[in-house]
Amino acid sequence: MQQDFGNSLAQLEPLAKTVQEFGQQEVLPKAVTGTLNLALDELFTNIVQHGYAPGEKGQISLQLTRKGDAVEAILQDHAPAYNPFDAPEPDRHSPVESRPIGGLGVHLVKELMDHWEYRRDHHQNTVILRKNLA
Amino acid sequence: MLNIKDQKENGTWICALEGRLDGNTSEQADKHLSELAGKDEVTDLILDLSSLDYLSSAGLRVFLMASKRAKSKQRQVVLAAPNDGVKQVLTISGFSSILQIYPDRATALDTLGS
Repeated sequence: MQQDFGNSLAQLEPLAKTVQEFGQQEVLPKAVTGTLNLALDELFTNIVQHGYAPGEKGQISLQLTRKGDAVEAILQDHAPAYNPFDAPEPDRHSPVESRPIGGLGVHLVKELMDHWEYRRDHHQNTVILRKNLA
Repeated sequence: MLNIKDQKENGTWICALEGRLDGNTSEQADKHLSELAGKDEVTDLILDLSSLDYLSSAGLRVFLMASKRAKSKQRQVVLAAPNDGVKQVLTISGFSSILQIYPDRATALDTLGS
């Protein structure tokens, strides 16, 4: 399944619908569809907020494929080179008063997915995620 | 799409979040909770998540901000009735150790009221 989105946070709901349709089509467990959507949501939000310049019109492409006992998602954009997985690990232990805000999105992606990688090729940022079904 | 409903039960303010709390709706939620925190009559606050279908890290940020605001006034923000998906996000992100999470609204009310 392939779908292009504009770089707007209003596209998060259509993104969720696309992932849900893919899940139904492939008869995936609900938990798998849910975690896949959350991981894609986090990366998509990062691209919209930090990838493209404010006001710049861009495109974010999503490709979803069933690969045997796993599902693979590829997210691509034309924003400047940026590897989301280089971000430092967030603080998850200090108390409310001093806990810094942010950095949790990529942490969630790493926790929820079985495989993640970043590539820069053909002037595109490409993120590949895999989630095992078994 | 996110709907927010404020209620007061047994003297405690409850804010029910319905729908999706993501990067698209987090600003709306943050603004709402920030305004609520500014009112003198609002002390402790229960965020009722029973109708919240979806939560991403943008929403976690809203909870953290609300909690920080409350702490600065010696008040607290607690969460009630998250569904399994929402609970998973709270756990993985380490939020279950800094925010009180109750299985339902009644338990949250009992605890805050006592």
